[in-house]
Formats: sequence, C-alpha cells, structure tokens
Amino acid sequence: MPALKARGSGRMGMAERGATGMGELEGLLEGLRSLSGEIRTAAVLSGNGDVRASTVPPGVDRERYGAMLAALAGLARRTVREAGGDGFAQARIGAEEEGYVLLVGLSGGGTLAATTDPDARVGLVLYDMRNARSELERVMGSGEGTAGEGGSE
Amino acid sequence: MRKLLGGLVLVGAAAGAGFVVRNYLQDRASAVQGEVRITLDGGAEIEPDPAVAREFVDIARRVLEISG
Repeated sequence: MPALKARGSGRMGMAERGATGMGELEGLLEGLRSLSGEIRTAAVLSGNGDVRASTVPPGVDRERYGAMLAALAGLARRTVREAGGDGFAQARIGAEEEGYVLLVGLSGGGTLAATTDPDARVGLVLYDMRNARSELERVMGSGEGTAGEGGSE
Repeated sequence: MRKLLGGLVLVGAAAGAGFVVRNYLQDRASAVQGEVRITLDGGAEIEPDPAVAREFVDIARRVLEISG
C-alpha cells in the first residue's frame, strides 16, 4: 500500500489506497482508517442492515457489533422520517467518556459507520467519512465489495 | 379546630412529597448522558427528543463497549 500523504496535501483516492488481497470494501475501510487515524473501527452496512464489511479487530463479536450498528442506523432513519425528512446525511452520537459512534448515510439505504475515542476531532472524521462515501457507493453498487465478505463476518 | 389544622398539615406534607417525587422522576427521564445530532440530506440538523436520544446513546454505548 502506498504511503499515505498528510491531510489535505494531494490525497489519493480511496480505491487507490485500498489494500489488495481483501475485499474491496474492507480495503476502502482500512484506507479510511489510515487516513483518519482517530477512527477506532469502521463498518459498511447494506440497506437491510447487513454488515457488508468491517474493520473490527479479532475477538470482537462481529455479529453483535453489526446488529447494534444496524439498530442505530434504523433508529436514525426512523427519527428522520418522523421529522419529515427522507434520509440522513450523517449522525453523531456521543456517549460521554466512551466515545462517539458516527454514521454517514449511503445511497440505497446503506450506512457507513465508525467509532472514535471521546477526544477525537469528530468534524474531521465525518469529513473523511463523507469523502469516502462515493467510492463506497460505487463498490456497493457494482457488487464487487462482496469478495471479502466471508472473511469479514 | 386542632384536628382540622392537623389534617391540613398532613395534606400539605403529602402534596409536597408528591411534588418532589414527580420532579425527581421527570429529571431522571429527561437526563441524557450524551449528545445526538442528526443531519438531514437537506443539511438541516435535528436533535431527537430526550427519550429517543437516550435510546441512541444506550445503543452507541454498547457498540463502543463491544468494539473495545
């Protein structure tokens, strides 16, 4: 993987950074984590709440992690609907000393989710997540992101 | 007369206790230990009501616990 450049100085595309030998979605998520060092874990959920890819470390209960993220995304959508909106661009949920869970809505009802420490610069992380959105949508739309799914779940 | 005054004191004490308990329960119900901000596609920002916000924070806390 090529060395990452400093924030704002000639950023490479997410796909360019994506690691080979793993699913393209996982590669994009790892690229996002490398770019935004304050992200603890990241995951992509499909419109029906399935985890398409994640970067959670070994030993973590991925199923439970995915189910909780899907619950958060569903709750965000329901809240937006009740407020008269169509969808959410982003959601930021801070749990005081535990940290933040950040969500970015993807086209087709998917969600990009990330967790951070409580002292993370959440605005910057959300900015990087929004920048990653188009490439994630492209990969999810093309169906190419399924290559590494077996390993991710 | 003394009985009447005693009764009034008891009623007043009971009403005061009820008021204190109600305020305590309302404070507990509205306290959200965290923050929730949702940005709509159009750019508008909304904050869910306290009960929903608490649900968000509870689930987020579990996500953060699970992911370590």
